[in-house]
Amino acid sequence: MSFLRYKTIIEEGDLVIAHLSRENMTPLIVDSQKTYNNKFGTFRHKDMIGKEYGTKMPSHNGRGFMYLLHPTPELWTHVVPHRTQILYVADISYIITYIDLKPGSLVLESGTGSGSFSHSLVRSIAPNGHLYTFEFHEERAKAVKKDFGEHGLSDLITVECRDVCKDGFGIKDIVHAVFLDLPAPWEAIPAAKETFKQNRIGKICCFSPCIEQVQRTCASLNENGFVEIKMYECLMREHDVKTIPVYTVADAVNKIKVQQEKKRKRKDQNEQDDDNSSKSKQDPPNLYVTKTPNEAKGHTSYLTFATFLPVLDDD
Amino acid sequence: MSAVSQITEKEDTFIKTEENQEELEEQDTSLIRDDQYIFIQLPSGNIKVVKLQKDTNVSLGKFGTFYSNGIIGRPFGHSYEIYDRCQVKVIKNVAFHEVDETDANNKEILDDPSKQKLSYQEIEKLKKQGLEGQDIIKKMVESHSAFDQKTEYSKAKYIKRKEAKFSRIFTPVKPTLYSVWEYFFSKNPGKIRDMRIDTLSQILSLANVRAYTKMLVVDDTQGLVITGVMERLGGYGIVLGIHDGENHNYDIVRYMNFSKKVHDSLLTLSWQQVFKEEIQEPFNYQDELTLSEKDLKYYLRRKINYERIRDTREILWKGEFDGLIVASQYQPESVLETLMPYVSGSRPIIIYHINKEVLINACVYMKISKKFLNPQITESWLRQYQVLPGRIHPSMSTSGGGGYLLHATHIVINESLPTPIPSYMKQKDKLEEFNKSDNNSSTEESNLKIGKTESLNNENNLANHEELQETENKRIKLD
Repeated sequence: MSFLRYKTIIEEGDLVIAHLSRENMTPLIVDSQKTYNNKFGTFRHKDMIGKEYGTKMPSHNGRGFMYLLHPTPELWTHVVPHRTQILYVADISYIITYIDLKPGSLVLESGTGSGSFSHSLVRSIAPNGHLYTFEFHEERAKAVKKDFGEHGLSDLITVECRDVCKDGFGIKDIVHAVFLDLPAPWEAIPAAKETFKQNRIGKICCFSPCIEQVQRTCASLNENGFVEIKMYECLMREHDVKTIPVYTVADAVNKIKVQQEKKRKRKDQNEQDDDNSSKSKQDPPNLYVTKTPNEAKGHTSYLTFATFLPVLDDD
Repeated sequence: MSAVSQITEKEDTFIKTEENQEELEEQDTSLIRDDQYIFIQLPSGNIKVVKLQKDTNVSLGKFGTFYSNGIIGRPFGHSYEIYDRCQVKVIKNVAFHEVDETDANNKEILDDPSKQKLSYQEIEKLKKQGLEGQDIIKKMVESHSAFDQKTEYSKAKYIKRKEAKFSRIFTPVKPTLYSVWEYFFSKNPGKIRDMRIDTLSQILSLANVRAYTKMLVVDDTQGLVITGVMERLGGYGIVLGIHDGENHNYDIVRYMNFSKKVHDSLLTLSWQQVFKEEIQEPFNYQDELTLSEKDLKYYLRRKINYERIRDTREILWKGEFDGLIVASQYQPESVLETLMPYVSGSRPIIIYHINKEVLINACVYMKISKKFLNPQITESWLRQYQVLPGRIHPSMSTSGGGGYLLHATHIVINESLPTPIPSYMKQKDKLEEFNKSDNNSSTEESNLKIGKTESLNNENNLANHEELQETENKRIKLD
């Protein structure tokens, strides 16, 4: 149950995210018979047992180390096998707040994909909410079902293999929020409308990368009686911290003087005072600065939100 | 046997009533209830916060007054129009009407207020007669001599503008983290340290806030961050808020209409109470039977407060918190020095600030301390679009920035384990130079560490790729 509850000490059978570097992480199920080999050495699972999560663990043969991290939905996104296009943390966070998820919420997701976003959804609605997730790719549906089981999430998630655009969702009058990550969300919107708990307010989010999809989605939401149609883009930008020396104009003049001095000395072929010039050189003061990476994510998807209105008695 | 079955039966009914209660509670939050805070969106677009009481009139200023019972018990979502002075009726909401293109253009349109034949006094008179907002607007359109010359777009715009002034339609808005934030951000962003909702959402995700966690939060945002954490805990877990001043000022919490269960998850301590050396004044226990009714009330309040502080301090000092969130006016490094001992390994540390410069120093502190994995500064970027049919484009004006986050994962250095030494640690001179430039109090400490670690060096001299990369970075910085 490590996805639903934190543990402090690693035990046999636990899921550990082995962190070698930011780009290199692997999920491990602790099995005292096994060893994990990588370019930093040999790591015996046996040595992990009894350690605290977050421990910086040296390899058995002392070649290097790795960090033993506690699984979180964010880390799972990095290491998820059979990965499809995933959602990024900026989008995930904004969606969850906007569609108002909290413990106890009932939410619908389609498609499931690699199940990465499902982990974030279920985190927000546990321990008494429920996620209904639909995936039309049979192999993927099977794979995520297995993942959910291994992560102790089966009670909170119902996975169904289904083409929702053709066959609908098969549930009615249940959920508080709907998330559609489909190529043609407008085909599923009429069916999605029926899945909402009919006597209360609800929120829908459609996730599409193209503006043409947004246009058709908005038209369909409007036709189906959804209100407050709003669309956003959300990105996260990194700022790397580093130090730079701050030279002054005086330094620039000095640099030229030093060069000239060198030249003259070379001419004079007199190298006696060579040490003198380097002594006068002083380190400039350093400044802490940030720099945005040269390449960053410029677009993920458009997030289209709308509100489902409770059905009135006289409707 | 019967006794056993009785017990299980009792347990069953107990569980059932608990379930029912939860269901009831859920049901209730989607309904407008008596004695709860709601936000009311006015025709002008402004939002008014009201603590709703049954059998009372709620004034919406120039937009009229309505009788509270008219909306109590109804679900959130719909809009209402005021009629017959204080009565309300539900209005069918729509997202937007399709606007048809016509041949009209603005070639003939001149800016001339005399086109509107209805004077201000006449409109006021109509309002006094109790005419409904829609009818007033209709009358105004009728008495506008050049209305038909307008394009359909500008007709729609005109009506919208008049609605903002004369309509009597309002929308009760359910307090959610989003709507509560929206209200405070539009009213006074400085009070919530200019934190935008996307940034707040990222804090809650990155901090892995969920049921059954124990969060440590330093909140100088009027309780906005605490409110978010409380909602995500849903009453399962603890949030310990460290606050400025003697008493906390988490004003925002109350607008969420949290249940008692959720309220109970909030514990608070002042900065002074965090420190063990600040001894709590002992409480003078008295025989409650000897006190007069008035004194007893006062005595009990003091006793409860004393015990609350005593117990909360114990909870803090016991540690093992599942994360630290800081949105404070105080120097982040000093906050980390004070509170990191109480956070477990592999747990997230998130620091918010509207000024990046404050976080840069904290990030350098984290990098040197080695207790933090991947300290990183990020900034959220949010852009809203207009989505009218055929006219999709980004909003013309938007919020300029939502603040910065510094986040990292807490690392446990187990002293009993041999530590492979990254190669740059051996380059003593280089590192000394780096530390010198740092002007940080930890310089001495780091140097000591180098001295100590050098002896261990020989056997473990292959460092991880990342650390090598770091060395490389440092060398670049130094050169």
